[in-house]
Amino acid sequence: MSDYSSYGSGGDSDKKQQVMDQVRGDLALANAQELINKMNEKCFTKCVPKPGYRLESGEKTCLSKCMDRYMEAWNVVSRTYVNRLQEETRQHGNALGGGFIEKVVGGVRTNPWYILIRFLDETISNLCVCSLRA
Amino acid sequence: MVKEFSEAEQRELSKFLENENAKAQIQRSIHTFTDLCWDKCVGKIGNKLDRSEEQCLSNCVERFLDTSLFIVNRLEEVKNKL
Repeated sequence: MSDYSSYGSGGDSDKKQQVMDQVRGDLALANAQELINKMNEKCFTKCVPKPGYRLESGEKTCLSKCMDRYMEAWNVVSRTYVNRLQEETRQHGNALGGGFIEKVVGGVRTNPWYILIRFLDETISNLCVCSLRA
Repeated sequence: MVKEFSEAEQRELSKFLENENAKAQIQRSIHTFTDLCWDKCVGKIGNKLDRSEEQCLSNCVERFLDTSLFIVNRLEEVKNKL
């Protein structure tokens, strides 16, 4: 984010930086929550077709694998979409101003594990549907 | 916020928000596409996505976007005929 590195000395700049950090943090959290919710839904459907009295070990194995596959799928989709966005931008010129897509896209194509990992230590329990819907 | 920041800072912040907003929109689309295309393309859970599943996911995204462009163009045509 080199564009926003001009902050530094004054108290106002710190305030500005706070706002930016807050916005980035909120969006990253929303992104992680969305990923977890979708993964939960998809993998529950695939791996627990007939819910019994407890999660069986076979179901747990399937869930672990399914999580990894969902991340892979997310990666393929995001790579394809971002490439297409860049291609369309090249072909039709950029209505949004030069370099806009490149700048925006830079922060998007991260490994989905990174989307989650930054929350793992502090707030992972808040990401669970169990607490969200409570 | 209006009084708290200088004009230059306000400009910088609004540019920043515009970028973050665009990024968030792209991320939302990625979640939607993954959801949709997962159902279409991924069968039994294996140790890795196989080649055909990956190809299907990628085609799925491309064709969804084509569909979206098609609809917009078609509506544009209809509008021009009116």
